[in-house]
Formats: sequence, C-alpha cells, structure tokens
Amino acid sequence: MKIRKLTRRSFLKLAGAGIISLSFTKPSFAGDTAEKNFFETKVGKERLKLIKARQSGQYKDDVISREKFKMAASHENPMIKRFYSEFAHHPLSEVSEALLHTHYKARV
Amino acid sequence: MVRKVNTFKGNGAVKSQTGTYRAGELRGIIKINEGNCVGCHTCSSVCPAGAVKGSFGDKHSIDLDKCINCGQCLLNCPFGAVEQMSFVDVVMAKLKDKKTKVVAIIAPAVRVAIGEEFGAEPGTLTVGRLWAALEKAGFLIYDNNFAADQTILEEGTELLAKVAAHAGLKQLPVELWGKKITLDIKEFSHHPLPQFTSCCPAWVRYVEVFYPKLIPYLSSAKSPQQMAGATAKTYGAKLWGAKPENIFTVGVMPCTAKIFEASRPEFDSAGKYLKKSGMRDVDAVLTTRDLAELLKRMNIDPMKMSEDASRKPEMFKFYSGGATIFGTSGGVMEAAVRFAFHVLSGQEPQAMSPKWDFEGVRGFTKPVVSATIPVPLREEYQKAFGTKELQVKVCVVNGIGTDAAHLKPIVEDVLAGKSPYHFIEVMNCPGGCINGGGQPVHPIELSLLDQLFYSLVKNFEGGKL
Repeated sequence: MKIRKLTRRSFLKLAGAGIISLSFTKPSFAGDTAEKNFFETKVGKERLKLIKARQSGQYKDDVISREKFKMAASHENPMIKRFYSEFAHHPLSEVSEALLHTHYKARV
Repeated sequence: MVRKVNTFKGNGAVKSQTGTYRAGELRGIIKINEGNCVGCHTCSSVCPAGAVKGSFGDKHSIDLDKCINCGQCLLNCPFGAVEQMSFVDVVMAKLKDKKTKVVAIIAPAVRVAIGEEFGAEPGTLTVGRLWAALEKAGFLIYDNNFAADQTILEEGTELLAKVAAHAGLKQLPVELWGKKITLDIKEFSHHPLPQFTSCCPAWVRYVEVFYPKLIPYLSSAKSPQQMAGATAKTYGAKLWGAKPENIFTVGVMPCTAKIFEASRPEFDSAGKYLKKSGMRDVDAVLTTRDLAELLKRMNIDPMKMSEDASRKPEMFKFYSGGATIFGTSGGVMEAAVRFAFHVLSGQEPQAMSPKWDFEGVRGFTKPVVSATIPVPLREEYQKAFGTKELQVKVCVVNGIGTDAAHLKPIVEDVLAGKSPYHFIEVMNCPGGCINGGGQPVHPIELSLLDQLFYSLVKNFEGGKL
C-alpha cells in the first residue's frame, strides 16, 4: 500500500508539473496557503459573490427591523425588557450569571 | 446549484478525556471520506487550525485534536469529499413525539441562505416564511436573534463594567428602560482588556487549544445558542406552560462548530438552575443544510409561503436590527456599539438615523478592520471617566484566516500588552456566519484544465491508466 501511495503521489506531482507547464500556473486551489488575506486567495475570490449576497440580505433585515419594527439596538426589543423585568432582573444579575454566562477550559 | 453534502449519523461523544476533548463532547463532527479525496489540498489551504494532514497528492485526513469543527474544508472541497455528523433523524423522531415540545433556535445567518436549498437566489431573506415552515413542521420558535439581543445586554454590560473598572470605578450606574441600577464592578478590575467576543464556537475552541493564555480575555457571556437553550427551559417553559423536561431544544445553525458547542459538559445550566439532572441546554443542532433536508422529508417548502404575512413578531420572535447582523462579520461589534452608545450617551436610537449605523466596524470582505468610535458621555459618566467623550477602540477579525493569518498579529499584540483596543470581535469564517461550515454548499467551479487534471488522477486511482 505504501508503495502504491508513493506512486500515486508522484504521479500527481508529475501530472501537476505537466499541467503547470501547459498553463504556467499551479492547478487551482493547490497549496494556496502562502497568501495572507483569504479574500485574495483563489478560494476566497470564488467566494466573494456569495458572501456579498448573503451579507446584503443580513443588512436588508437590519433595515426592516428598524424601519418596520422600530428596533435598531438590543434594549429596544420589548421582549428583552419583559425577560429582564419578569425573570433575569438586570444584566450580570445572579440569574444571568447562572444561565447566560460560562467559563472556558484550556485544552493543552 | 447547491450540492448535497454527505452526512453520517450523530455519535462520537467521548466517554472520558480523549486528547483535546472532555468527557461527553462530540469528537469527529467533520470527516474526510478518503474514497472521494483526490489530494488537491484545497482543504489545507482554507484550514485556520493547521488540522489537515497530508500533502498535495496524498489522501487527506483531519487531526481531530487540532480541528475546531468550523467546516471550511467541507464548504470548499471541490470534490465533496468532506462529510458532516447529522442529527436529522433524532429531531424527526422528537417531532413525532406528541409529549415533547421541540423548540427551533434559528440563527441569524440561516435566514439569508436556506432559500438556496429550495432554488432561491443567494441572500434571499427568509424570516416569516421560515417561521411558518418550522411551525408547520411542529416546532416552537425561539429565534436566536432574540438570544443575540440577550447576548448584547450581557456582553455589552460586561464590557462597560471592565472599561469602567479599569478607569478606577468601583460601581457602575446603568440606566435601562428608565430604571437605574448600580452594578458592583470591583471584581472586573481583575479581568483584562481587550475583551474578545465569545459567540463563535470555532474561535472559542481555537483559543482553548492554541492560545489558552487568552482565556481571561474572552467575554464570559455564552453564545446566543446556549443562552437560548438555557432560557427556553427556564423562563420559556413558564411562558409556554410546559415542563422543562418535555422541552427539546434544537439549534438551527449555519455552523458545524455549534454541534460541538452544544455537547460541552458545562452547558447543562438550566438543569442546574432547576435542580434537575441529565438535562442539556441544547439537545441537538441542525445545520442550515440539515434543516432543509428535514423540511424536504416533510414536504415543506418555505419559499412557497408568504414572507410578509408570516412575519409577525411575538414572544421569542422579537429581535432588533443589531441582533440580525450577528450573522455577518462586524455585526456583533456593531450591535454592541449601538447598545453601549445608548447606555453611555443616554441617547435613544432613531430607528432609521444613519447615526446608528456604524459602518466603520463592518467586516465585509476585508480581513481585519478597526475603528475608534467617539461616544459622547452623559453627565454622570463625564465625572467618572474624566472626559466628555470616550474614544472606544474596536477591532473586527473577519475570519481567523488560513493558519490564522488574519488573527495572529492581533492576538500577538494582546499577549504582548500592546493592544490598543477595548473590544475585539473574532469570527472564524471569512465573512462571518453567513459563510459558515453549515451553510448550503456552492461547489467551486474547476477550470477545464483542472477538470482534466483531476479526472486523470481519478482514472489513475481506478487503475485505468
């Protein structure tokens, strides 16, 4: 198996070299790690249109929430006000600490 | 247009500490099917954590101890070789059980992507019709945007407490809804600044695995999903007139790391609060793709429902503009800034005034953005802070970046004590949750040359060469 794997890998490299010589470039997406900014990598550029479309959907919802429902900031949410007045009292209260806050764990 | 992602049934909770996983946590949520891997190395080129093993030409696999479950490899694999752990069957069974109230916790970014699974254009906003579809399927709705508003109240107040404590204050007066409370903030002087956001579970695990020294800087606020689960089984149970043990909470997330997050052992706080053992805050997590699969199995198409007629907020469907932009890079920051601006200045937002847009903190498609926001202080804060205008300095990391390229310079400054910021948002995925690993997959289009190349590879593999 080990031998076959090596063969396969060297075949890929050979074929890759063939393609590179044909196109003067690496096969797309291969070994793109050197670039610093994701949005300028080959994969990142492929994703720009999709990211922008979904982002504009999100900001459209911001406008609807403000224009139609009159809530720009979190404290304007009437259910938030109700949640605190009926249950959690105020931010950073004991109830909040018990249910809405947490701690973390080093994993090394 | 979108590609179906192969899934495997949810299992893999470890029984005892295994590498970087604690007892009870799910291990191996993302998996590379070697049979479909051609060794193109794309997954490596997008992995923030250096967790993909194998070089160009090799079959690739995931080092689970490093993996932060973000699913960027899955989104970007040109060959659909990366697969995801799924709980669709578990949720379907709960929906059939009449005794159980199944609660859907719908993340902000799901509403701008799920339409794609039903033939809509990317970015199509799906709020009312998604609620209607979920209700038809038998879910109660706890919009995670409501939990995002909870997060801002908690995380925003925590930030103000830290900033004030570092300015030497022992107490912080906060006026909310015309009522004044005074918070004892002495202990916050021991919490370092800047404060990092904690809503992104891939980022949280990244800190725990790679930068444990940053743990004290993370906000103690839970992510919205976990706030939602804990609230649904306590306050929600009261409002719904349900027994907490009969509530089954389902995160509907654009994210594969949320599947991991829900399995963290400490997230049984509703159970602890109610003194009931064996209760999880969030019982199962579905990705955007999983929810589409579930709706399709039930023959429900949200795109055939009415958006406007169904968008009638009530109970846990209420949410602010600040909450919904959590789904995109810079959104948590902007929501926090809107809230902090209100508290510090005493001004009330005018819904459509551009004054309440803080475009300088929006990530869009820039790897890192930073901004200084001048906040005029109400009178009682002027004395406390010794200034009329507080300069709030913030930074947004729009995706950790390959091998943490976006993130590293920012955190190195923090660890060196040189960071100028009060608050830093980090989202693992470039663009934010909208581009999360649980979202509909649009395959990368390969050039003709690449297609030729990789078909040669496949044929070679099949022994045809």
